[in-house]
Amino acid sequence: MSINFKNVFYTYSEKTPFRHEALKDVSLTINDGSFTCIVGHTGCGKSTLIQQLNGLLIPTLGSVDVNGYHIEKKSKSLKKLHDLRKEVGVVFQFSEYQLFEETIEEDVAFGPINFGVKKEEAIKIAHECLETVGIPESYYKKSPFEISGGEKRRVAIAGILALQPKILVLDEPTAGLDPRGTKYILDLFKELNKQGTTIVFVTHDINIVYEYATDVIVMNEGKVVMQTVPEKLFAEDVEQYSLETPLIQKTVNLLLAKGMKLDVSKIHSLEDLVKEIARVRK
Amino acid sequence: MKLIEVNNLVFSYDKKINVVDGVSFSVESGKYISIIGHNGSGKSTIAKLLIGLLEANKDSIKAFDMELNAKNLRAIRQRVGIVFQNPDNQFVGSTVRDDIAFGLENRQIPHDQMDDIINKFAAKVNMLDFLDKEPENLSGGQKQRVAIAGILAMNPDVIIFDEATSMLDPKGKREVRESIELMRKENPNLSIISITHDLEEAFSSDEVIVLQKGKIVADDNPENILEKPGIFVESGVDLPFKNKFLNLLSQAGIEIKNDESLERIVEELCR
Ligand SMILES: Nc1ncnc2c1ncn2[C@@H]1O[C@H](COP(=O)(O)OP(=O)(O)OP(=O)(O)O)[C@@H](O)[C@H]1O
Ligand SMILES: Nc1ncnc2c1ncn2[C@@H]1O[C@H](COP(=O)(O)OP(=O)(O)OP(=O)(O)O)[C@@H](O)[C@H]1O
Ligand SMILES: [Mg+2]
Ligand SMILES: [Mg+2]
Repeated sequence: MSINFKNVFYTYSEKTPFRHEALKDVSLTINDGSFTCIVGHTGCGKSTLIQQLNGLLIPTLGSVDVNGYHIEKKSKSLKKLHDLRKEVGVVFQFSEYQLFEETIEEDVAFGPINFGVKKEEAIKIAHECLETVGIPESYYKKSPFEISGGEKRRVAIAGILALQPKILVLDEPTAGLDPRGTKYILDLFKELNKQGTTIVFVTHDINIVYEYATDVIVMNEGKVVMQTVPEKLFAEDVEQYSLETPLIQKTVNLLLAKGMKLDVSKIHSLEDLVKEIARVRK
Repeated sequence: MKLIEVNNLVFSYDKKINVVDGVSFSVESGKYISIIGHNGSGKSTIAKLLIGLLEANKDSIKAFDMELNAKNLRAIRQRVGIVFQNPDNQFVGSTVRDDIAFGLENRQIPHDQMDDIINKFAAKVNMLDFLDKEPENLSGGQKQRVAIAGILAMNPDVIIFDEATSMLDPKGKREVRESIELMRKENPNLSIISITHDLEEAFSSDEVIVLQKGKIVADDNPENILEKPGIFVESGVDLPFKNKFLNLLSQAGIEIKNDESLERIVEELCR
């Protein structure tokens, strides 16, 4: 199935003085079952790009194919977007705006109910998902507006998980999460990915790309400048794409430069690196 | 000199659970303080109490030798700037320019100086090309840049950043850090309170306050905090990269003597 962008342009405020072309001739493929990270400088078009994935924004020109749905201006299948949104779950950059129900549990249950699940069952699903993202039971009847920033983010993530989407789209989902929550949620996405969920993940945290991505898309000023695998990206000088070198990669580079004979193919995490160092020093 | 003194601060939203529970600390002039802690530990609530958006218990907050109360609130707000966790809560103007101007008007900056100040600070955060745009039509990182510019332009004595750079790209973060350093050079008394989940930032500040369930569990310089690993287990925060690396090395039986920087560690490993 996969995701396909064909020559996609997107222009905000067309026919006004504020016209802004945010996507310029974007063509790309996101493979089923991948953990694809999208990176690039502030304002390069990442959020604009991912909003095309569930038809929230429709390309000004060009087309997007997602799981057999064809999204194009004037195409008839636009009516079916409701169904598409069950398959593609999106957690927005400012996900607190996704919250709107009276209580946290109703908020999370809203999605399943909207897609035909009975209320009782939906509440059960909601409780499971809230537990998964680390929201304690004492919060279930609270208002989603009267909690902290990171807690709101967690509730918004739970609300999307409750839909069990085939494609999970996340726009900087870990901004605002505490370090332990970040690690936990990332591992959760990784686990879902292993079970077959496609993950599309927008981030500025290059260390996440290093540790979790199977594929990476680099954007610059509305264009895709590179679509590759992390190993290939980090073998290059990434600063030319206004990215940073991941801390593990930086350490590896320093060690290699000093002559340590590391087997780089074995290193995917800090634990791996330390194991490799210990092996080489023996 | 203490710019802000917090003494046994207590706050509850529901009159049942204290989400800020007996917090005391002070902000010395010129200091860069980071506050870290798990989601819901009370960081943003403290920030809102400090600027009087939420009402603190009596006599618990003193700023610039004034009690924080209805009478002094205005005077204190003139000198304490806050960048909120969600930049949309910050915007009042219909364009980026109006938005920055609004804060300046509040401080009675003469109109003929305003344009220069607006341009200067928009340039600092790389938003000069966006002055006529509506804040709501900006990308996430652009919104955060504008929110920061608006506060820097007001030239406060204390700036509270509540996760203000969480959505900036690495270059943007660097630029903001440089702007702040520059301002601190110009005004050595400028104090920063940075609420952050970015451990690399937190552990490069002068002082780290670790908050857990509304209570301060540690308040010290980074070196001392890093020596108490127990704090990290409990409070949902984590160690910075270098320390995680050192710990794993030590578990693998490799002890490093000079751990000043990553470069030094690498040198020792390769010896
Ligand atoms: N408006 C509100 N009404 C009721 N309770 C609230 C409100 N805002 C926050 N809380 C609760 O108060 C506690 C502290 O929240 P606060 O926003 O200060 O946390 P925080 O440390 O800033 O967390 P985060 O890292 O997630 O931003 C949390 O338990 C939260 O659920
Ligand atoms: N509603 C809008 N109206 C007009 N222009 C917009 C709108 N939303 C975004 N833009 C502009 O389109 C460009 C791309 O924005 P987008 O939000 O996709 O960036 P981004 O890569 O997600 O950035 P960030 O990392 O800051 O979140 C930016 O220059 C932004 O100013
Ligand atoms: Mg964005
Ligand atoms: Mg907060």
